[in-house]
Amino acid sequence: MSRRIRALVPAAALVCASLVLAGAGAGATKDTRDVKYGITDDAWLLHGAGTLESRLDELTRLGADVVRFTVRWDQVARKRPESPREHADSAYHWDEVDAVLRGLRRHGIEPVVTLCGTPAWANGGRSANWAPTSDRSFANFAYATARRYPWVQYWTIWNEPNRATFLRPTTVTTYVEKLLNPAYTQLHAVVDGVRVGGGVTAPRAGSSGVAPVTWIRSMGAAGAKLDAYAHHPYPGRPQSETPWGPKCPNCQTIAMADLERLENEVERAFGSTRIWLTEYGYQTNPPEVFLGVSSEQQATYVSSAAMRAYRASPVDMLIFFMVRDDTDPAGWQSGVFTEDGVVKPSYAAFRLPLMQTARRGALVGLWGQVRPRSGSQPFRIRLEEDDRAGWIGGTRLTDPNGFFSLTVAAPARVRVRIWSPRDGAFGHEVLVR
Amino acid sequence: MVAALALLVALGVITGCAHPLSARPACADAILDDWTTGALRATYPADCYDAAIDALPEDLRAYTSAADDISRAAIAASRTGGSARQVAAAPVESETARALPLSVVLLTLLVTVVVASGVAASVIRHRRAR
Repeated sequence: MSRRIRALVPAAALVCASLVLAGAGAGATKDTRDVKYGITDDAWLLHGAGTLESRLDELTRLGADVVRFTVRWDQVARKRPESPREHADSAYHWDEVDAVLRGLRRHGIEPVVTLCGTPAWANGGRSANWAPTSDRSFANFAYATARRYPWVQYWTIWNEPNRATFLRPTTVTTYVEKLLNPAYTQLHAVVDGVRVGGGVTAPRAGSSGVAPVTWIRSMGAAGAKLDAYAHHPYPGRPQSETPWGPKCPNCQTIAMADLERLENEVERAFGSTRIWLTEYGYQTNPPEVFLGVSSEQQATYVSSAAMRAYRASPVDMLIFFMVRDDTDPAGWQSGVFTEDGVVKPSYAAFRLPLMQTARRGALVGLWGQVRPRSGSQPFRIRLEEDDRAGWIGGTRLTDPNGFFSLTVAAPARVRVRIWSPRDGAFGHEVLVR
Repeated sequence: MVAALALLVALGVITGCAHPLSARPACADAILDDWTTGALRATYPADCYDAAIDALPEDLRAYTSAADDISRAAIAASRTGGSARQVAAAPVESETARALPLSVVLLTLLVTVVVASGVAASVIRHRRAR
């Protein structure tokens, strides 16, 4: 242990003791929040390496509270059902969905089910991104799905309907009248306490789409029914944009850096409504040359975004995309595993996020979480400098949701990280400023 | 969503999302390189900006600000005196050249004050010595 670090330990113990006296608990904050963190990767979950059970085990190890999974209407109901509200109708094929959703439930992971994709029989023979011709058909499918999985509490309606890639005609009227409101009514009719997320918007319009700010305002004017507004705040300039900034004050787009704009627009359109961030991530370079950041940066942003969501009081959920990089280098590369299955630093950052929140003199504020399992979790903070290391204080407990905020004495340029004894694992290290 | 898009691409449902990089001219590639490194400037012919935007894959359009940034650079190029081609031809030194007179004036002023002070001090010392 270096002299510098050795000198810190008694000071840190004193500081932590004062925190306890101040009522902060053994490393836990008083004003804790219950933000759910998750991950989404349908392709990996359905067809990834190993068995479905091994993939679910991996999600458990990661500590995902929620997993977003898309139930494709066009794949479950390739043929028109005779009794569309009966989930047992022979036209419905639930096998893959059953396996995933029931597996998640068995592992104690809450699914966030996205209903999406129109079968050809429901939209005049067009592709799956075309809206159904009748507002009844999607409502019936939502009803049947909810009857089959009545224990699913979180639902989102469609995906990025503000982009023509996913919804045509790309209009709020189509989305609200043909999809969102009919499904909302049916889901609430079946599931007690269900939460339905609407919007599910992309961060920008893309080709022939609608910017999210315009979309939110129009949804409010159209009388959209929702319990939460869902959005995908991908960064606009990943190489230079953190989850906190720079902001884009007059933009119609909404990235994580502009989370306050999302909060304001949602409040204005729908009143006091919760916010779900149902897709987010940074790609890594290599292999993504144009959009990628380094693996270390990605890990830092995973922790940073987690804290950003925690501190935004209307936000209930943050879901990262994806588990494992695309095998195609031109695909998406924001996984916590490389395409070859090698663990990236973001794996540790997802499981045991840690961020420096402030510095006042010799004191440094830390925020973090032990994500696996539920309830208070034991943890320690490790301080490292060059090839030497030491612990700050003893084992502490997180709050009941796994979070902690504490103040320790630490000089600049040392590295700190979480140790989770129950996981036998360290988190991603933070370089103290 | 990226997730669904990735799945669709993986399943071969959508093939038009990944625009081949080779489809764009070299200057459009250079613009994208500049955007990637955060160094996008108004120094290219107007056609290059158009080509760069046209060649953007859908995921860059939807999940980054590349199209907006390149459009802004194209507008800036068109505003900076005629066509972007002329801007590209105009040497960067011209900006420096416009800035030089002020620097030179200030520097000259400073040197004059220092020299004058030195001369004055020398004269005063010389007179006192007498």
